[in-house]
Order: sequence, then structure tokens, then C-alpha cells
Amino acid sequence: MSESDLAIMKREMMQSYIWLKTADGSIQRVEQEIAMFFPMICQEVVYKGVGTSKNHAISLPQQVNQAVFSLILDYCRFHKVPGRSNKERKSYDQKFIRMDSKMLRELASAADSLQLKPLVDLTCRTLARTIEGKPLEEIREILNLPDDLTEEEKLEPLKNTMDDPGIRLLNRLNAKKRKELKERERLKNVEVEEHAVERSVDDLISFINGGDPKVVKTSKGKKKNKKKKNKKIVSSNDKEGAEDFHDKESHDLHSKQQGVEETGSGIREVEVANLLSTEDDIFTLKSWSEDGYIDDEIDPVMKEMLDREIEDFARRLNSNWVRSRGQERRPVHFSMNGNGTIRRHIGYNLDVIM
Amino acid sequence: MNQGDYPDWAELPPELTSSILHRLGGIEILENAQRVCTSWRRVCKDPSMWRKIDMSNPHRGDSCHHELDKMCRHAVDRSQGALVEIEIWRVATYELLSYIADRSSNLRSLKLALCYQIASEGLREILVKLPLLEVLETSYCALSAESVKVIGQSCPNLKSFGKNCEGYRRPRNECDDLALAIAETMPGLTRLQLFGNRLTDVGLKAILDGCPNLEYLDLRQCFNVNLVGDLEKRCSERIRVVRRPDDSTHDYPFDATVHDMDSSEDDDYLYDISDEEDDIAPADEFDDDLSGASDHSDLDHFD
Repeated sequence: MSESDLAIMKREMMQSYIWLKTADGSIQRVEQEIAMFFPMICQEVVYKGVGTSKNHAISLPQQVNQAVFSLILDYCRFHKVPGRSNKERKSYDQKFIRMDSKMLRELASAADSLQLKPLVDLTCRTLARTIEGKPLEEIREILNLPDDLTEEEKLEPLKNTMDDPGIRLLNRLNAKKRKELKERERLKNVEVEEHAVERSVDDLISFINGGDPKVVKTSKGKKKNKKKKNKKIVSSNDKEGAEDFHDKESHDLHSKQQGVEETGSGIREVEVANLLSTEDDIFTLKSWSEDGYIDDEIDPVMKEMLDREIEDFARRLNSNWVRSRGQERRPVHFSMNGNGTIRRHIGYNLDVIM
Repeated sequence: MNQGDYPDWAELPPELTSSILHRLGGIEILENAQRVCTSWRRVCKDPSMWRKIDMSNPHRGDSCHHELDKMCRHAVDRSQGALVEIEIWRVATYELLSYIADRSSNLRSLKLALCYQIASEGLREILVKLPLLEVLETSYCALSAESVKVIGQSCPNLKSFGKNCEGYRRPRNECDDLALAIAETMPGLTRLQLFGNRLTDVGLKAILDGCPNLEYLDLRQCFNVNLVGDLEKRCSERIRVVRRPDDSTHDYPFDATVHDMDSSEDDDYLYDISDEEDDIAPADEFDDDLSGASDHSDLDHFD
């Protein structure tokens, strides 16, 4: 027997081993110094005294099957040798990591369960490089991932679906106003009804100066259609076609129109105008949203609050009014045309002749 | 390939998925990773993913700054105030950094590179809002010595400071202002990187005096520094890692080309400026010197 053989034999005899059991039941004998690399094995050996014999093999985590464990052992055996240069180690790592993504993923998982940080880093880094810059479909294919996101989810945050920014921004813009309106509603609702009605009719008449018969007629008809809403909404109901001139806070314009809708058939223009102006809002907001992240600027908590508030408000009002789109109650300005008819300006120069 | 054989990726503990995806960098996470599947989306929206944000993405030359700015803000929002580290290349403006600073009082590390849109004063103002900062690195960004002083005073916890710029040998401009500012206001530094700086031995000495805890000192392409004798001794004895002016730049993340301004000899250039005949410098001279730009033998001329 040669010197080196003897040396090897000596080493073998002095070597202590730790007994480990992989997830798939294979019992492995590992040199103690390697086994102690793994924090969890250390713990088991030191605190529970297991692993010293075949019958008391330490069970490895479920992610660690025999194949993966053998790889890990190779890795540890190489790196534990102190004399190696960084270059050598790097080069070994590059070769070591050459495997398919499935194996890589198993290795990462196993290394993580064994708390082997350097190997976790190596595998994660490699996996990241595998998917870097790849199109979504390819990533899913490589890693066998399900395509289970909704269309909406897939588009955020860069693009929002057409409605979302509209609704959300509207909600945000109007949250305070709604609060104010609610307050007033609570305080003055019943009382003001009558007064408001009368006053508005008078105002109307004086303004129109002879008046538009159509307007006056329908406004009378409107009285029946009074609903329990806040003051402005109620008052405007009675005026129907002719909106509230003085009331700059006629956000309820649209709601009025909605209310009108129910009885007035000749008020098609109102409907159309209503919808158009709403769409205007959405179009304007869309240009905002093209920039992207308006949506996400809203604190999610705040957003929920707003959403709840809107629901609440919608419930209080007639549900007819608040359709799927947030309706902006924007002040609407009126002017007289030369021939005495009223022109209503809606938002962006969309005029409707009444 | 049997479907059943494939491990369910979703089984990976979220921390592991997070660790993998995090390495893609902020932009790719937002644009790509979070749109792959629901479990990834969940991981990508988790604030823990955004404690450290990497907006370097050197490959994304095509995205406009405006978009990247929005993405950056979005990323910061997702951290929900827990941001500790952020690295931004190119797109930092005063507004963006303000946005970040206002929401991230816990920021420990700020690294900026190639941010030409923010002035030194602007940067200074923002850093004053980040008193817990421990790491500050600016590469090819405007940062005056004055600003550095203010920053040093506002950020007493600063352990690592870096200011990198283009190094050149010619013309031989010397300036120790920055070095002195550092020496004066950043006593706690353990790591200092001054790639391409104009400091001389005077500045270096001041730094060695003022920053006794230095463990890492990078003076690559600081061609006015002469690391010999006593200085050399102090450095090699007290500082664990010293990168000398002529050391290799292979691991430097930016372009390390030395762009010497030149003519055949420094002196000639200075004297000939007023000489009519030399108004137009012959092209040949330029070519010769440029090709020798990284030739170390040039150094000998200026000792």
C-alpha cells in the first residue's frame, strides 16, 4: 500500500459522518465537516443529538430529494476547500449552474430550505437571468406558470382600462363635493324643497323674460316627480329643461337630467348631452391616464373610502342617477341665443340647443 | 414532458420568488414580472419587494424619462414608506428625488448615476431631508464641494461616499476642494470612492487625517495623486483595500475611458494658444495622443 493510500485510509477512519435522510427516503452518509455547513443540520446534531447513526438519520426538508442533495453536496465539497481563488470559485459556479430551469428551481428551493445562502444567491441570480428581458409568454413557458391574470390586471399599472381612471379620478375630484352635498342634504332637505321650487320658478321667469313656454310647462310637470334629494337636485327637478342659472354648484345638472329623462320624452337632447359630457370627462381623464400612474397615486385606503362613499351616496340618491360611470356634476353655463332659446354649454364647447 | 413532473412554481416560498424577481430591477418588475401570473403579481405588489429599488436598468435606453419617472414614483409608492435603498440612473430630477425623500425618511442608501437633470444645489437640498443616510454615491452627477460639506453635516451616519467622474491627465487640473470637504465633514466614513477625481496628495492626506475609519479607498484615475512614500505607507497599513490611480477598471460599472484633452505636449498647448499659426491644430497630433491615452508612460512627463 502506498503512502497516499495509507493517508487516505487514515483520514477515512478518523472521519466522522452524519447520517441524513433525503425527502425521497434515501439515507446518505455525509462527512461531518460538510454536513455542518448547513445550519439546520448543525442544530439537529448539537441540540437533539441525532444524525450520528443510520437509525437516527436526520430528515432533510421535503424539498431536498436525493438528486438535488447530491448536487448540493458537490457544491459544498468544492467550496469548503479553503485554498481556492475567487476566480476558481466563480468558474466552478458558472459550470455548476448549467442545468435546466426545472432543476434550477428545485435546487433553489432545496438550498433555501437548507439555508445555504451562497447557493440560494447563485440559483436566484441564474433564474433571474433566465427570465430577464423575456416576453411574458416565454417566461410562463420556461417556468410552467399559469396565465391566470385578468385582462385588467395584465394592463396595470402602465395602462388602465378606459373606465377606471375616469371613475377613479372623478371620484377623487368629487369626494369632497359629495360630502358637502350630503351635509346640506341632511340639514336642509325637506324644508328647502318648497322654497327652492318657488324661488327657482320665479328666477326662471324673470331671467327668461317672457319665458320659454316649453320650459315652464315641463317644469310644472316636474313637480310631481320630486324625489327626496338634496336641495339643488330637488329644485332643479322642477325646472327641468331650464337649468339652474344662478346656482353655480349645479353639479346636479346631470342628475336633474336623469330625473327629467324619466318623464320627459322630448328631452332627448338632455340625455345625449348628459352622456356626451360624461364621456368628455372620461376623454379628458384618459389623456391624463395615458401618462400612467394617476390611478395608483391614490392611496388604496383612500380609494376604498371614496368607493364606499360613492356607493353610499348613490344609495341615498335615486339609484337611477348614478349609473356605471361616475357622473360629474359640473357647473353648466347658460346663455341666451339671439332668438331667445337657451343654450347650455357643456364642458368643452359642446352646446345643446334646448 | 409530463405536466405533472413540473414543480409548481407557486410552491416556492414567496421570499424566494421575491429574491429572484427582485434581481430583475424595478422597471422590469413593473413592466414584466408582475404580469406573468397571480402569484408573481402578489409578490410584486408586496411592499417588501420595494424596500430596495434598483432603477439602474442600463439597457433601457429607449424608455423615455417621463415614463421612467412615473415608474420610479410608482415603485416608491409600493414601498409604503419602508424604502431603504434606491439606485437611479439618468432619470433623477429634483422633483423626483423630492418625491422620494418626502416619502422615505428611512432611506439609508442613495445612488445616482448619469443624472444630468439635477443641479448640485438641488441635490444638496434633498439630502438634507435624509438624515439617516449611510450610503451616498453620485456618478457623473453635479455635486460641488460646498454641497458635499452641507451633506456631510446633515448626514452624520454616512459610512460610504462616492463621487465618480471622468478622469483625465491632461490638462493637469488640480482641485482639493472636494477632498477637503470630505475630510472636514465625513469623519465616519469607512468607504470612499473618488474615481477620476482631481485631488492631489494634499487632499489625500487630509482625507486620511479626517477619516480614520476608512477601510476601502478607491482612487482610480485620480491622476494627480502620487501614492508613494509616507502616504503609500499610511494607506496600505490602515486601509484594507486601496485601489490606486492606475489600477484596473474592469469592475467599474461606467465607461472608464480616459479622455485627455490634448496636443503633443502640455506646455506647447498653453503657449501656442495665442499663436496664430496654431489656430488649427493638425488632426494627426490629436490622433497620436488619443491612441496613447491609456498608455501609462504618459505619466512620466508630468512628475
